[in-house]
Amino acid sequence: MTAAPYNYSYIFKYIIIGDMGVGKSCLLHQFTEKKFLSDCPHTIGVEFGTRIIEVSGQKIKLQIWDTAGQERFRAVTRSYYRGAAGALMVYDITRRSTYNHLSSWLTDARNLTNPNTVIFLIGNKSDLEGQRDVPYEEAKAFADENGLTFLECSAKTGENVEDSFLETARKIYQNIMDGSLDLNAADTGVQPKQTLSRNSGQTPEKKDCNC
Amino acid sequence: MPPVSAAPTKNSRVQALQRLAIQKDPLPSHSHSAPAQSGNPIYPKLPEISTDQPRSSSGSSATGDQARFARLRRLFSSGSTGRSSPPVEVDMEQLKKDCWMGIPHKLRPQAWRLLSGYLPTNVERREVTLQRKRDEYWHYVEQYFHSRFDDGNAETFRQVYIYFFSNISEEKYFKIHIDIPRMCPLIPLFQQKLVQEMFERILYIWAIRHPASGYVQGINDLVTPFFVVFLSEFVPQDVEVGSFDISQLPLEQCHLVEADSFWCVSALLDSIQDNYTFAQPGIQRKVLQLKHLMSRVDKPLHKHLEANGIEYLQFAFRWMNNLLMREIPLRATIRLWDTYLSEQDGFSQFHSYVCAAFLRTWSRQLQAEKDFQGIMILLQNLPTQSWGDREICELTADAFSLMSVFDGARKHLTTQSASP
Repeated sequence: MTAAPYNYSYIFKYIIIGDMGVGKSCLLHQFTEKKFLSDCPHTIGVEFGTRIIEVSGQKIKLQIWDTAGQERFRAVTRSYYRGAAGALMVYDITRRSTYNHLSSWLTDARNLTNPNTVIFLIGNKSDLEGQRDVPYEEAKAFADENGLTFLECSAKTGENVEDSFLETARKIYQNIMDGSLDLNAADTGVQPKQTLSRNSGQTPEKKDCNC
Repeated sequence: MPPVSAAPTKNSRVQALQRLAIQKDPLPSHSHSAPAQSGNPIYPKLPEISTDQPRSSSGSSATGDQARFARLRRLFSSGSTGRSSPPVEVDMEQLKKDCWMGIPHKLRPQAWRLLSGYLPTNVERREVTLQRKRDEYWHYVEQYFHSRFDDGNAETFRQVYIYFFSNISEEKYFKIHIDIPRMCPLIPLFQQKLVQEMFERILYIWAIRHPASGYVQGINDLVTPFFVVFLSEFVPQDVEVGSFDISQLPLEQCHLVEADSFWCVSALLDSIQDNYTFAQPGIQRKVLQLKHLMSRVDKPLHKHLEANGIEYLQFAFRWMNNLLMREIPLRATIRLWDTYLSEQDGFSQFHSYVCAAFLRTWSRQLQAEKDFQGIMILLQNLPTQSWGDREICELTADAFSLMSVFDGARKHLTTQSASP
């Protein structure tokens, strides 16, 4: 459809997880369309979104799976964890229960993804300061304890949304560059451009990096 | 292939099948024709019935339609008109045959009640049964829901509820509560508080009476066709149902719409229960079935999807969980349900064949997409905005022919055509 569809160096796969109604789909929509969907229908199973970003001069295509928050869909959504390079774990700063469930989301994420998967914590709805139910410091402490990067965002205003997706990509890219993420391993969630053409082998062409 | 070739004039479904058998490509001619009605109404009206004269251009099925519409009209006439009184006992097989290709909008509410098994086939038992069922629903509301608003009863209610349904009460209520405002955001009808409260009650009562599945997102969507159809009975001809102001409706009629919607959606959900129980085995099975089916009926597309790493579960999960309602406009869904309600195991079995027919409708466009994201994005946003009666006719006829070939529907067809 678009011109030059292969104009990127890597594909990174993301998943977005978290309780129902925390704004996962709205974050994705804000990131891919730069718009806020006020009446976003609830996600059934999973939905897919994509956008090309740039990290250290490299074009990276993000393939993002937005998962349904409802418990009943867990059997289906769990199968998307495997092969995710990044996991955005979302709670709603105005609803403590969604924060309290983070440890169970994190357990799932750790158990079902690979050791290199970058997990990013997002406290959404930061525009609703008046209704805040989870202090920033508390969530920050939780993130530090568990080695997660953390940002409060607003899918409504767009605040920090871009940064969350980009920062996750930077960390993944860094892992590739310093060799901690082995591109030949299975289910890394990272696909160098070359393996996309079906005839060529699995060896990724070494790109010079300018970082 | 369907073995029925004799007496095609009697059965317009067979005609449609024959029309389709000649075509190679399901939808070649009019992929983006404008909808017949202006302003995209949500309540479908069959073109042939909105005027007295059937349009001559509507093809070979017009005569057949006229005959079946006449039969349906007679079936649902009040009897007091003096001409021909309706039969005491409805012949369900004949009714299903006559409704399969779409039901005239004025007759649809009553036809759906019958086809759902909600309204008795025997005319004499109808009044009593309907009254009893409607009372029963409002008794449930009284028992489970109404008292929730009453401070004095709240604790009793909570205790009774927790006693029977363990720890799910508040979580479940919250879940439904969050879903309702997010329903059909573009249709004003569903943004009205009164309507949303009706949906909350329907879903809540259903959920507490079905603890094995409980409330699952998507079930709210399944209420909307029944709600719109039953409401249409009370909406003036010149008013579009989707923008009707429900506060204009007398409370008694609101209650009737709500109770009937509850019972009919309950009957529907009973037939697809394993779609919503733990791990959703019904959906897993149907998606697998769709995959097998596609590998046989459209190999190039199947291979194209596989080569690009597309898994059927990635897009078809929603098709099964929401019965395609997220993929086509509401008016097309209502028209599709005319057929589902008229088909044996329509929602549970025939739907898989409809999904296969639906997928291969887009075969060419999908194969033109050359990578994973292109295909996925298209699959999530198929251009069906203008879909109406004609597209559903072709879709269901195609699905029926698939079922005939792959499900040994030979027997089914024979019994269908055995009745006069």
